[in-house]
Amino acid sequence: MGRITLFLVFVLSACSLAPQQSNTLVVGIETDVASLDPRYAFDAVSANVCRLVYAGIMRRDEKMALRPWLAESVAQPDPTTYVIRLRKNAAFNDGRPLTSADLRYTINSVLDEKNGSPLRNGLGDVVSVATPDAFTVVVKLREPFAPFVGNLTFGVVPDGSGDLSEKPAGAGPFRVVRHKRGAELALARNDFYFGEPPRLSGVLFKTVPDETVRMLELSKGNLHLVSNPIMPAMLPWLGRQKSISLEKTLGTNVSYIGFNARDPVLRDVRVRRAIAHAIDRDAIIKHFLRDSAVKTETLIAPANPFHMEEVPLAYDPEKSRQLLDAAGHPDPGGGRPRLKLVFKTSKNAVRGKLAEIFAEHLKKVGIETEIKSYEWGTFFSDVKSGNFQMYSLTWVGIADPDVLRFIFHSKYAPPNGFNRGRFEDPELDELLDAGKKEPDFSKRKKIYDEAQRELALQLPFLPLWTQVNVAALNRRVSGFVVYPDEGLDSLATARFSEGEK
Amino acid sequence: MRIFSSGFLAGVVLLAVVAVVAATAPLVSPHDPAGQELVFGLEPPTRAHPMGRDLLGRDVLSRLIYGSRVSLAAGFLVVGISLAAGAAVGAASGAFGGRVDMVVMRLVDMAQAFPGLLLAIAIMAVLGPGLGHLLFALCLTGWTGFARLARGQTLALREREFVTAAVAAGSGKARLIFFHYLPNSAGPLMVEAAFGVASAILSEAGLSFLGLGVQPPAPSWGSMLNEGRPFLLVAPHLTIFPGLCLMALVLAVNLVGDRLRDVLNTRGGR
Repeated sequence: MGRITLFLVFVLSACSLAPQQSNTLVVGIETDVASLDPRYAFDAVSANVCRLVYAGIMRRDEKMALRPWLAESVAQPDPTTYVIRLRKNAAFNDGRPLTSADLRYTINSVLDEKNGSPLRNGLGDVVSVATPDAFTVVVKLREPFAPFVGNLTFGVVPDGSGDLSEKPAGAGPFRVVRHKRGAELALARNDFYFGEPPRLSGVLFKTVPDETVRMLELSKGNLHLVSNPIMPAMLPWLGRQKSISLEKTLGTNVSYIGFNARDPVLRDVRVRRAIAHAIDRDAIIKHFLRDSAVKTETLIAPANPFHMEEVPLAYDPEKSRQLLDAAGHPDPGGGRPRLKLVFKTSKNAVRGKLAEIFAEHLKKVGIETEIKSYEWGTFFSDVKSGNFQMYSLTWVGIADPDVLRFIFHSKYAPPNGFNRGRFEDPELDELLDAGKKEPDFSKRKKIYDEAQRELALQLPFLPLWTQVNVAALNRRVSGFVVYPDEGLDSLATARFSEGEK
Repeated sequence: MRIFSSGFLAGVVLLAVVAVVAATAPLVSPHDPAGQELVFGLEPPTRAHPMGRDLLGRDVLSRLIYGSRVSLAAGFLVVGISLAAGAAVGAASGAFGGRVDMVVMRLVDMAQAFPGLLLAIAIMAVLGPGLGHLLFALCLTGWTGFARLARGQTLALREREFVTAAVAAGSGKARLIFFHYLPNSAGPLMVEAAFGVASAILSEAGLSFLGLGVQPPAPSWGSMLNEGRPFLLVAPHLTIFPGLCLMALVLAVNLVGDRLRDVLNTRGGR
């Protein structure tokens, strides 16, 4: 199978040299998109493609600042009412104008529990969606919900559209022209796009599962852009390639170790802190991640205005041993471990290696770690059902801190939210409930500072680092920037430099 | 025909070397196979580390030495168990005949209808990863070949005069199986076993390559190949050395197997 794919890649790359496609930028991706419906597209690739194909009410720019996109304005006459005025020149890619009916339909279908869209939690408790005229939508909430506007970034779909995962129809800068599952996804410029038309005539997403092949194709010029995931150990090699330039932006992602708060051993915060002090993050960042990450102490990444600088949990094996002593796990002597823990991980190569490094660090303070690696489906279902002691994953792109509520509030264990460790802390619950309603930024920031401090104290998660998003680009491409949340939005403004074809 | 030939000798010597190295791994390995030194990740071969270091700065040679234990265990343990179980079941099936034979052979047919490696993967999916589970899965898919062979031999032997004589002398089924059928099928079974070892070693490597075998940080040649794969461009020593070792071991087993087949003359018939 792998060989067939490889063969296809070579054949397809030969095709892409045809002259009429010379203004098409080819992106190499690891796995194909899962869905092209913005209401259900939540893996990184699908979400990125949807942001090129659909337009949202709002969007975030390359600094993660919120900007109106389909909206002319969003007003809030009272704390629970939002009036959204749409721009009048927006149209879907078949030329049909985008009106308030489309937005109302999109919001209602997101809210409909039957559809199970993960976006639903991000809209608060909506009472009504009214459309007084063709370009105005009035949304009423039951109670104030601060993240509302910030969450209006999802793509608007046409009124009455069913499942769009295979036949997308949006108002974004590009439209989908063909999709061969597992092989390629071709986008072309959307001539009805209301904004500045893209300089590229199209973007071709090619699925190339093997990283080495992606790198070789990139260096040969058959691919023009490869972004995350790039193995940190490949960065020096990429830096030496004459045809490739590297673009780096500090991400909004945070990698963490999740603990099970119901576990008889890990329920004790002293054990969690002991683990935190035992892991030498500086060494991992410097040597394993090759300085492509920044240490962070909270799930709110450094680029986020709600990020709070917390005193770092220093690498201190001695302190770790003391904490384990205090928690009732004395050193039994004779090289035997103080306690044994199971660390679950997916088969992702980087994550598997990290698990081995963690295990080695924990061994030094007397914690024996058994690593169990599963393919993604099994691993993730274990994580969701709370069937783990420790695991490691990455939160990508937290924009509004209200997300913390779904991760740590005692009410939000899966399937209601993402509190997979079943962490319970009434004090934190109160803070997160308050932060959801507070409209004033500085007051809200104080609340979330307090919440982040509480989290750093209780450590239901051990935040590790924020990775730098790296994009490897053909040098002929200009005007492309990496978004902190890994978005490829700037493909809408990227172009090939002239005269070098 | 004399059993000794240059190929056979080379095979035996190689196997002996691997066996000694595996048995004395803690003594002969120059470094701790799990000892990480992140600073030296992906270091190419040097005098202190003649096969270089992996992504986490662990000594590749030491990991290969420890990994040989897994490969040998997979090869000989799996084939040993499969051979014992398969031959006994097959010979019994042939000896009893009739309904017993029908049922046993349909079971074998069912097990053989699935590609061996795929069936092993399915079993691993149920049991979860781990070396014990992996060996169990390989045994479960491995015994059928021996069973079929032992049955075929038994059916042929059943008509021979010395068997008729034994029956006339009052031998029971069990006696026939253990004193006549199995000893007289030993040649073909041995040859089949020799090649079985090679394929079991490769199956283990294949499943470990997929991450289903020995769990990290314990090394196995298959998982080392997999770990090195993303770094073919920057650190080819991570894949070259485990690949060479695997090739050499399988070659050694096959050289021995080839010679056994020639000497026991199981191909040509009589």
